[in-house]
Amino acid sequence: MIRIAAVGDIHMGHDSRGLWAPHLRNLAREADVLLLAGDLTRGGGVDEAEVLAEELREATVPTIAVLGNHDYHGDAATKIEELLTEVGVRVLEGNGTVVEAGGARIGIAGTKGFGGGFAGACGSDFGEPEMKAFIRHTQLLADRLQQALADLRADVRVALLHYSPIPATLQGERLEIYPFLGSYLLAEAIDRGGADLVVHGHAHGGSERGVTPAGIRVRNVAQPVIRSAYRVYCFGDGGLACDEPAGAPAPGA
Amino acid sequence: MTQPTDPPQYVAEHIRTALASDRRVSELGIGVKIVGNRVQLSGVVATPDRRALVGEIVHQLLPDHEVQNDLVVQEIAEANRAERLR
Repeated sequence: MIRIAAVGDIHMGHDSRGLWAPHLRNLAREADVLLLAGDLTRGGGVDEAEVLAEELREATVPTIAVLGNHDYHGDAATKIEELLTEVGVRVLEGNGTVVEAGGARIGIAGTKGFGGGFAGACGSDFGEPEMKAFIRHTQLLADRLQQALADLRADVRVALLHYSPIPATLQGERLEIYPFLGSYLLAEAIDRGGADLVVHGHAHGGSERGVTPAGIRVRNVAQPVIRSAYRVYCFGDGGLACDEPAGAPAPGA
Repeated sequence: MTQPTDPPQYVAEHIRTALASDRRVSELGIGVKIVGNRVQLSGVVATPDRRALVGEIVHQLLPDHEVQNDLVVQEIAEANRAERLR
């Protein structure tokens, strides 16, 4: 069985030191890999990323991350990536990686993603340079994600994003801000590139579960949505029944 | 930036903008509503310190208003759960 833990939007700052690490120490009993879906810092400060990196030293499984818009706000995304890399976290942006666990290969392709809105009510690559740059940024990241997914050779493929690819996992947010929360271009890229699961964050007021137009499961793992240290998603036989507490013994085990 | 004659809708948005750009909190999701001389804050923040700091910042920006700080601190309230996908 493959067990994938995921969480986003943990927004670490000095005042969150020590709050998260205790939850990571037993992670290996519950999951094979930890995915971080962006907005890992409060405002993208290097000092905040140092707190984050220190907490992540407690993670006992391979950890893969994308950054979120908050992590870019301090114009120090490169330095944040370096700090995370130093403690063993693989930070993805338009590329992929494979984690081997229990004889299986878990492939993860990641991007921050960006906004623009959803089919029928979205921005277009049209008009002022600023508007074109907005949509083209999303399209560029979506194209790279599609290629990264297509290139993965793995038993289970996961798309890791910060922004949402579908509106279903935004339900609960105000409709007016959907174009700032995600883009259908990301879903189109995922449906074309292929995946078994999509995890994202960003929408604190959204909903956990949805599917892409082609039927790939999407999960919003923003911490205010899941209200727990992380959520675990399982593939394969044995182990947990749906919605059991993570780490529960396998039936008959 | 806020003028004394600004309608409350504009003042509320000025507060929201200030909370987003103030690096001490960087909060984008705070609900701000101004009713008379009261400013009501709603939403979820990550820590107790951030809840207090948001209240202080709003008080500094609108010293003549009573700050009603209804922000909730995010708790890791639930046990980690697993979902089986196939």
